[in-house]
Amino acid sequence: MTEPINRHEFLQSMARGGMLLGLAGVGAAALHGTKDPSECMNTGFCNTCDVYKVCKLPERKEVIHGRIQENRPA
Amino acid sequence: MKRLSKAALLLLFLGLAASVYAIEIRFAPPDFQTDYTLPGERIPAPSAGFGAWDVLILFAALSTATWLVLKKRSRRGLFLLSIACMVYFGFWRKGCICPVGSLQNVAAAILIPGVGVSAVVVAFFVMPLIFSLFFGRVFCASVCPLGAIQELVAIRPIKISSSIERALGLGKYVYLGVAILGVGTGAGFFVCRYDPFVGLYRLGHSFNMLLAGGVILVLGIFIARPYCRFLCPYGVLLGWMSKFSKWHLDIAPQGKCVDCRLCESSCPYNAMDMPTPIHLMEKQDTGKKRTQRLVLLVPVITGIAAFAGYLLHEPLSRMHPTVQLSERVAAEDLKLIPEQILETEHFRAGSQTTEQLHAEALALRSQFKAGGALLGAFLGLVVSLKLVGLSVVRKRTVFEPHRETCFSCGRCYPYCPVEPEGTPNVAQERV
Repeated sequence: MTEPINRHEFLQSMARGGMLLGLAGVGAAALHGTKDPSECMNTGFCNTCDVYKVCKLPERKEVIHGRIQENRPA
Repeated sequence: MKRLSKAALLLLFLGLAASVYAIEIRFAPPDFQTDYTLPGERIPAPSAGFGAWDVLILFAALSTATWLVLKKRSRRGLFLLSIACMVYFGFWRKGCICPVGSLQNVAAAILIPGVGVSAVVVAFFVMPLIFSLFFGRVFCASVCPLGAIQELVAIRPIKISSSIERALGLGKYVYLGVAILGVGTGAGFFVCRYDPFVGLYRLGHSFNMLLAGGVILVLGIFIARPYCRFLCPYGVLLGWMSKFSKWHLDIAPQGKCVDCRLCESSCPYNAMDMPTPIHLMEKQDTGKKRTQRLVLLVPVITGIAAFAGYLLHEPLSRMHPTVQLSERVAAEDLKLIPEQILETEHFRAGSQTTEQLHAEALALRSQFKAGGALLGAFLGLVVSLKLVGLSVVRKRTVFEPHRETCFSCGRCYPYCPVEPEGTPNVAQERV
């Protein structure tokens, strides 16, 4: 016979289940929908990326913006 | 001998930092608009099949960390695993792919239409959170390369008061909110841009970020894991998960705590909750009334903070490069600033008109109105819930690790004189 769980444990397991569902939802939402062909793997090295030229992701903008700032004359 | 090895380790890192300074990227290659491609590559491109291997390795590392924390109870094992993870995820994989940064990729895929994210990135984001939900923050314990490097330099950790810890700890919520706002508005990936340790792992970065990394590491000798405790945005999510974890690091698992307080003094993170003192045990009614009042204040504080965030939309919007450019162009046109900079020269040489630029900036500012209000509401909610949490006095009879803030690093294991049956003699293990 299984022992009855107390209120604290019950609420904790409910919260855990909710969070697990939330994580599944976030994962599914991130993977769902029309996506850019250059899905960034977050390798962080845009200059070695094969699809850098056609990339529309914010990382590329980031790199361009960073370069402009670095090339700014002192 | 132990002091010597610690000094050697410190020297190694200082030497590494100095070598990184020597190879700082001072002149980044320009972004060519023609068909010209840069000859050669400084760093070989990662192979396409690496992602799946990385996921497998991350899973294996998380599983090993869980085993070391919950079953083996070995601080030494965790320490060695953290070195291995730092070498692989840090130096070998150059700090990428990283669950901390993947937070932004996932946010971008959800918030920006048409932006994609691969299953590997989602796996990197979700997997440490799931482990945290069941076993506590085992990812922070020894898998995260950012945490590992700080854990290694924490040689002389001092304790800071819990009130300062709580106040500084709000920094990570601010960083999380600003990072999501930055992604949602297209302002950039701030967590990656301002990652203080990636420069060390990649052996090259801007001087400012290398300096920031060096300062955090030197600070980390005395204040253990400052980035994890006060800034890490992913740590917020891991903490939330860990709060409800099914199993967690337990210092005296069989309830045999002898109140020696060794675990409390061995933890530099203020993550050990002491037994509730008798003078704090108040009448139930008093506590309930205070908590009820604070709960009623939650929507008020959240609303005020949301309004404050809304009012701050203009300074917040300046973190977006288009808004910055628009303001700069306007200032140059009004002759308030005599000289052009590279960005404005680049803009004036392009096809976009000034009106179009200002219209784009205006649209972004209105995005920041909503974003600022949401950011303010989030921070207000966090602060008010923290206040509610502080008002609740929980009855504890033994020392327990605080599930949300405990990194499961196992520093307390070797100090606990109570050993559960079937575990190795951890008291002899001092790392």
